[in-house]
Amino acid sequence: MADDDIEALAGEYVLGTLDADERRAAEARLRADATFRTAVADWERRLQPLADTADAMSPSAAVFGRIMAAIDAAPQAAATGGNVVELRRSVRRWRITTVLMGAAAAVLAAVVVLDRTGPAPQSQFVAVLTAEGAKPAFVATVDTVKGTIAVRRVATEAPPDKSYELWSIEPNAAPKSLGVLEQASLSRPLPVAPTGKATLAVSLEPKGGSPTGAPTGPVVFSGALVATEGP
Amino acid sequence: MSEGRQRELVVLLAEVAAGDRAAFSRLYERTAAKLFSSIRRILASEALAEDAVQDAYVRIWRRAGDFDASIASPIAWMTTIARHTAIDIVRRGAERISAAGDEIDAELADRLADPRGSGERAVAGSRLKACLDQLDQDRRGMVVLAYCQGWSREELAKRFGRPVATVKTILRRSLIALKDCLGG
Repeated sequence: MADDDIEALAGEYVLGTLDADERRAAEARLRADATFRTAVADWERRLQPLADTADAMSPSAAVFGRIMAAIDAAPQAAATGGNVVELRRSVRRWRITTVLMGAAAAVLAAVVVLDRTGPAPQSQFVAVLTAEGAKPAFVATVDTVKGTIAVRRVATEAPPDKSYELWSIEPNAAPKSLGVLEQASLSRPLPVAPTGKATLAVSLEPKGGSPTGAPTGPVVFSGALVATEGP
Repeated sequence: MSEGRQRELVVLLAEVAAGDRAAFSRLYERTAAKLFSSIRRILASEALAEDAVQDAYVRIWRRAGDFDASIASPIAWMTTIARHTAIDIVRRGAERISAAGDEIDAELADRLADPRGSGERAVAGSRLKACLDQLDQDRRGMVVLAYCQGWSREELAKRFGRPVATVKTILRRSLIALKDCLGG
């Protein structure tokens, strides 16, 4: 995606003119794409003076109590619980690392060597899903001609009451589930075929996977697909 | 917003990310009026605006761990969550401020040049105004109505008599022009 396209998408995201599907896709991308995250933060800052023109008005005193009640009513999504907090922290560290190191995932992917058995070029892809630059957590290999994906977990089990779920995120589209990762490795037909432009992401979901069909928990690992052969 | 105040909000958000309720209460006290005023421009009904501010702070509680102080401004990050929450309610068809929205709030552009507040904030406001002024009137209107009143592409298309796809193109070109004008 050209720079102006990323900027325009980030600008429209902040402006609020994306439709519901586009907004969801942008939110998923925010979790997976550091360049996009920076573009959005820059747009928030650029347009903030417009928000500053609004007349100050306070909500009624009862609102804060209602907020706390709503938080207590859905505790599973709250930012409490050691493991989730730990994972969130590691995501944040990873973000900072990513800012510093650039395309860490791409560099890691480059050291993964696969058999070049595919008949068609550009049909085999690999993604290394990381939380912190140095430590791959999942390695995924995708064959878009055979329509298969193999995923191997190389670190970190999910907390006992949670499941990892794998998502394919295409530019400008909502994340599509590629399955719940209960075992150390998974090999299966692809429910949806990612293009070479997809990012794979693993989110932390309630046991058994997302109840809604969209990611509900934090994205803890992600990595872009990289073709195993040159163009 | 002063630098000290910004830093305070950054610290509060980090504490909220770790599940600190006292920090969340302080964060609410410091920011609720600000977020509520952005929401009220999108939702005229006080009851719906209070629903929106409630949803917005629940989202802030849950997403505080996503806030990244190395790239984002805390109040601007929270403002996006608040505006998007209000826009979600509007788009569910609950309410639309049609009367007020029929005319572009010309006063708004003037306020940009004269923000209550001082120093850095006033400078940022007048720079944005200068750059908005370089867009032609319809383009400026589209950007301002979308940001301040939460208008969708479809609503803008109707108001400005252009196809929806054209509105999207115009919005994106206007944003890129604004970015260039503001110096990237």
